[in-house]
Amino acid sequence: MNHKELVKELSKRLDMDSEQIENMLQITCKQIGCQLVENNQISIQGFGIFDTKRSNPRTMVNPLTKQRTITSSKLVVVFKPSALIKEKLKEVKNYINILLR
Amino acid sequence: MNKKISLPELIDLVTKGSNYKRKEIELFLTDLFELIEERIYQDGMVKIKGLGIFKLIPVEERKSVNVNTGAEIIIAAHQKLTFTPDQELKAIVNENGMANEPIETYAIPVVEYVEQRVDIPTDIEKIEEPADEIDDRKEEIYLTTVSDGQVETNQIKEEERLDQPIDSEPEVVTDKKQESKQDPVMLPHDPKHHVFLAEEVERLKKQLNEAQTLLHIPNKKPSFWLGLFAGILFMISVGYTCWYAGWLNLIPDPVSVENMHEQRELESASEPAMSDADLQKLNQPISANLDKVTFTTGMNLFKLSTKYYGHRLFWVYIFDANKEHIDSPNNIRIGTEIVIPRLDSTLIDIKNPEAMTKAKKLQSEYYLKYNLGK
Repeated sequence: MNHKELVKELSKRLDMDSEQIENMLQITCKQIGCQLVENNQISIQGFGIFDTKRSNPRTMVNPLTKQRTITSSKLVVVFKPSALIKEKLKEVKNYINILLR
Repeated sequence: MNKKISLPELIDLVTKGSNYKRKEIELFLTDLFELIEERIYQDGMVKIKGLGIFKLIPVEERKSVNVNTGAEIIIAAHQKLTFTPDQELKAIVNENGMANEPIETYAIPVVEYVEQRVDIPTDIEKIEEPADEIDDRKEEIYLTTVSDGQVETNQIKEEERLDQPIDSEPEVVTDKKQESKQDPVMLPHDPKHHVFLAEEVERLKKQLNEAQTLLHIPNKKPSFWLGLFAGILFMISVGYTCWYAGWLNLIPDPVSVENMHEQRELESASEPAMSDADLQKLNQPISANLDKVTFTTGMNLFKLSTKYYGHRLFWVYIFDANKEHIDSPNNIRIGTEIVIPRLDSTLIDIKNPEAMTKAKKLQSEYYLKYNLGK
């Protein structure tokens, strides 16, 4: 599903302009990012948890100059799907396999 | 910090940052996540700008062991929900994240481990103290002489050398000192020797003091004589070389002049003959070289010939010049020096059909000889 399709579908369901929906989506995404920066978890029941992990710094070798540099550790956004979704996925498995074929 | 934000809290936060009512946002968010879930089951992928991509990935079935019973289980193939964050989200997260912890990207200097690995024997600790004292003494001497401003360090060494034969004792002592410095491991462990060393050091100190006092007396004679001697030697050598060179070039022998003339005449005579000679004579490469190249990976005789002569066909001549160190034109060892001969312009003229046919002939010969392709 595309971003455009999502916005269209949402505007249909909520009886709102697609522009408004887009605006709301942007704000929520920014808000989620801001919360994640402050080491906050965002848990949405029945869906999953957005979390951050700090990746380890690692040495990197420039293949041209053979110079060794250390890349800094970064924050990585991680999503853990809830148990409910996992259960559902097990049931849905066959249906999706048929679709993929 | 490290709070868990649930959906209602998220709704509050979003309403704070926007002009919409709380109810609208609540409806929107609940619907959003419901829709994502629905669509994931249907399409297997949902893409949201600014957040990321939710995607289902098929997992193959695999064997596992039940931890409690030890029985083998087969975990059936299933789908896994994955999330890859969008570039925008990554940027937001890392922009502020870097403010908290500064990035460090620096080059690690190449360390020569060989120097560091030199093991220092434990015995050296016993000897170190006196050695340090000697060093201190030496430094003092150097410092004093430098402060005088007249005597340079080089001169001190010379003077010391001159001083040593006057009294025989200090020479011996200095020798021993050097020995102790050079191989401290060889010295025995027992304390008697340690005491002996200490005595020696004291003696050395006295000697050094004497040397110090001697140094204060300006005694420039030996250095002066040495300098004079060196100067004379230099003058003689320069004069000799000049004279020799002059004898060679400026004052030519009558005989040699005659020889030169003869040579010139011969050359002038041979020149027209060369110009009349047909291509075959010219084909032999002239001895002077254009360049020398060391063979590296990715190099090729074709490439070299196109670089230097403008056409790949003329690799034949390069091979001709390097026959001795190359086994086969297709198999050249990396690192071999390849001489690129200076060829006559008519030989490597692309527009001249004769030159091309000549090169082709040679090429076919080599192909036959070395069983190369075609």
